Amino acid sequence: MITACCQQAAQAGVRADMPLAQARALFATPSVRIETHDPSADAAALYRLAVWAQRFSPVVAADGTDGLLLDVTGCARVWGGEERLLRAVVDAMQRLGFAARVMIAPTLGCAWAVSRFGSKRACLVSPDSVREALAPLPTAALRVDGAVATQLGEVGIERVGDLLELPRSTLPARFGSELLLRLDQALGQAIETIEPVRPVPPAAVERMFDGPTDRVEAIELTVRELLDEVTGELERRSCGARRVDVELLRSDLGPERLTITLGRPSQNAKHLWQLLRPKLERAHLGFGVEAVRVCACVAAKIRHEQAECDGVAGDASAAEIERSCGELLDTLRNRLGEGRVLRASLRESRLPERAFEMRDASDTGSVTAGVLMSDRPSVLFDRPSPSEVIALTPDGPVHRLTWRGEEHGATACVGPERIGGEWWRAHPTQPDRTRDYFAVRDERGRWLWLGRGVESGRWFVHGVWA
Amino acid sequence: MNRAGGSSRIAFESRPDSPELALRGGLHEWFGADDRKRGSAWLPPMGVLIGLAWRVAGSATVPGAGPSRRVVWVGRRCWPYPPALVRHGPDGADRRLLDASVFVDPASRQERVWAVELAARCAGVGIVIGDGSELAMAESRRLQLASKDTPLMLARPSREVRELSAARTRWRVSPLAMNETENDRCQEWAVELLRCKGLRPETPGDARRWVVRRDHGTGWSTSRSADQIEDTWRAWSAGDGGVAAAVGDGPDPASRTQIA
Repeated sequence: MITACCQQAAQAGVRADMPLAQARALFATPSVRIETHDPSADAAALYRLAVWAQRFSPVVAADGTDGLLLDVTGCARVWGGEERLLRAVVDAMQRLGFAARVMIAPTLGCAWAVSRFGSKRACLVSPDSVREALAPLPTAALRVDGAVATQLGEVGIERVGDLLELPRSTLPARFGSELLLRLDQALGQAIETIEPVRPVPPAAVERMFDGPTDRVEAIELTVRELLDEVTGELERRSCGARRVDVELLRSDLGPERLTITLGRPSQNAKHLWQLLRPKLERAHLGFGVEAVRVCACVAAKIRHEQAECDGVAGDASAAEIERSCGELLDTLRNRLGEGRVLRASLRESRLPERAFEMRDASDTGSVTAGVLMSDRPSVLFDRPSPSEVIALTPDGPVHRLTWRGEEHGATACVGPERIGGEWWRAHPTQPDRTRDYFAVRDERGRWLWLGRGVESGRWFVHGVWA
Repeated sequence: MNRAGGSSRIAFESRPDSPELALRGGLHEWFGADDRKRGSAWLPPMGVLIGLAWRVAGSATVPGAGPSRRVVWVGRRCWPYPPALVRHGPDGADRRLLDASVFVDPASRQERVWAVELAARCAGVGIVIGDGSELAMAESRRLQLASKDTPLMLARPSREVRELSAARTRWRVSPLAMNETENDRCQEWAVELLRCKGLRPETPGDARRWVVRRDHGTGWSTSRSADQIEDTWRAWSAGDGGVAAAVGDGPDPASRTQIA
C-alpha cells in the first residue's frame, strides 16, 4: 500500500492507500524509488523536529504523524512581528529540506484547518477573519470523524461556511456533540490545550567553592563526588553516558573544559574517573577554580540484562567480557587519541593494499564481506621495497633475487598471480596498476611475496610470511 | 593439579610438550630470525604468533556466537596483514580472529608499554601480542606481574636476545630450509625454547625444539619435534583444537601428520 508519495508521483496519479503494483503501473519507466514505510522512524524524526522547533516557541507538540503545533502566544514580539516569525519558520524549514505548510492563526483548530486545506503554503489569519478563513474549507478541515463528514456530505453540507449558517442547536442531535466541539475550537469558543514535548535535560551537577582554589586534591575530590552524583542520576534514568564534559570555572579566565567520549554507554563512576584523571592532571587551573560542573552531555539507554545464573563458575560472563573490553577501548582511545585504536575489516578489492580497511574500534557499522583471498602473507609492507630479480625465462619462475642488499637464491616459486588494476579509480602516483605476484622461497626457507608491475617491469617485495 | 591456573609452577616443571606452553598466563618473549645488526629492520615471527592467537580466538566460541575475548595487537610493527587473519577451511572462511582483533597504534615507547599493560590486565582480553623492542628490565617485571592471567606475547628483535628481562619464557623462531622436492607451498619454522622459568636445564632426551609447519595452500599448521633423534612426532595445530600429542613414531617423513 502507498502511504505517501512525492508531488511528481501525485501528478502521475499515485494516491495514498493505492496498492504498490497499481502505482508502479502508472509509470512508464521502472526507475521509481520505493522506500519501506517505517512509522516509528517517522515518529522519532517528528519528535526531533519538535525539539528543534523549540527555538520558535517554548510550547511545541507533535500533532498526529505529520504536523507540529507551536503555541506562539507572546513569541512574535521576539521575532519582530508575526509575519517575520512566519517567514523565519518557513525559511528554517526550507533549509532543513522540508516542504512545510506554515500557518499562524488565533486558534489551534483554525491553524490546523487552514494549513491542511487552505490554498496558500504560508499565511497569517488575523483574529477577526477566522470565520472568513474557515468558510471555504471542506468540513473535514474541522478534525471531525470521517463518518460525520460523510453524513454532512449526504445532506449537502460540503463547506464549513454552510455549517456556520445552520442554527447551532440543531447540530448535536443529528451529528453528535463532537462536531459542535470542533467547530467551537476552530472559532475560539472552546478551550483546547496542547501537550508539549519536554526533552529531558542532560544529567548535570555543579558545585561552587567558597572561594577560588588551586588545590588539585580538592578539585579532584569534588570531580569524583560530582561523578558519583551524575552516575547515580544516570542509573535512575537507566542510561549510560556516551560523553562527559567537566567544566572548571576559573576566576580570571574562561572555563576549562575537559571532554571524554565513550564507545559504549557507561554508568560506572570509577571508569569515568580513570578516563578523566589524566586530563584533569594536565588542566590549567589559572588563578583558581571557583566552581566545577559535570555534565553527561550525551547519554544512551543501557539495556538491562539478566545476570548469568547457569552456573558457569569461575568464568567471566559474556556481558562482563563486553563491559571490560569497552572500558579498555575507552581508556586506550582517550589517552592515545583518535584513530589509534582500530578494528580491521575486509574490503571489496583484490589489490593487497586496498583489501582491508582500518576503522575506529567503537565503530560497529556494517562490515562488508570483502574478497576472501587465501594465501596472503602475514606481514604486508606499507611501502613495497624494491628488489632485483633474475628469472631464467621472461615471465618464468624467479631464479635469484636481491633484496635489502642481500642476494637470495629461490628454491621454490609459485605464481604468477595476476591482480588487475582498478582502472575505475585511476591513481596518478601509482603507475603499476596491474601486477604479477609470485610467492618465492629463498634458500633459508623464508617465503617472500614478490610483485612485478606489468607496465613498468619493476620488481618489489610486498610482503613476507614472517 | 592446577595446570591452567595461576600456580602453574608445577606444570612448568614437567616437560614442556609444545609451544602452546606460551599460552599460559605471563610474559613470553619471541625473537625472530632477523639480522642482528643494530638499526636494521626486523620482523616479528608473525606466522607463529597468528597461530597462537588462533588458539585463543578459535577455541572460545563457535562461529557466529558473538564476540569472544579480544586479541589485542599493540604497535604498528606487530600488526599482521588483516586478510591473513582469515582462515580458509573446508567449510568456508572463518573470520573469528579478524572480528576479535583490536589494533592499537601507540605514538611512543612509553605509551606502548602502558597500552600493553592495560590490555593484559583487562578481563575481556584473551591474548595480547605486542612490540617489545627496547623493553627495560623494570618494565618487563611490571608486565610479567600484570599478565598473570593473560598470555602476553612480546616480539623483540633478535639483537636484544642478550637483554635481561623477567619474561616467563623466551622463544626463537627461525625459518627452516626445505629441499625442493617438498610440497610447494609449505613453510616450516623451528621454534626453540631459549629460556623457561622453573624448568630443569635441557637434557639430551628433552629437546626443546619444535617444527611448526604451515601449508599455505590449505592454511593448516602442524608441528613436530625438530630433534631428528627423538622418537616421537608431536603435532601442534596452530588453530583448531589440536592437542599436543604423540601421533606416530619414527622420523619417517611419511608419518608427518596433518591435523584437520
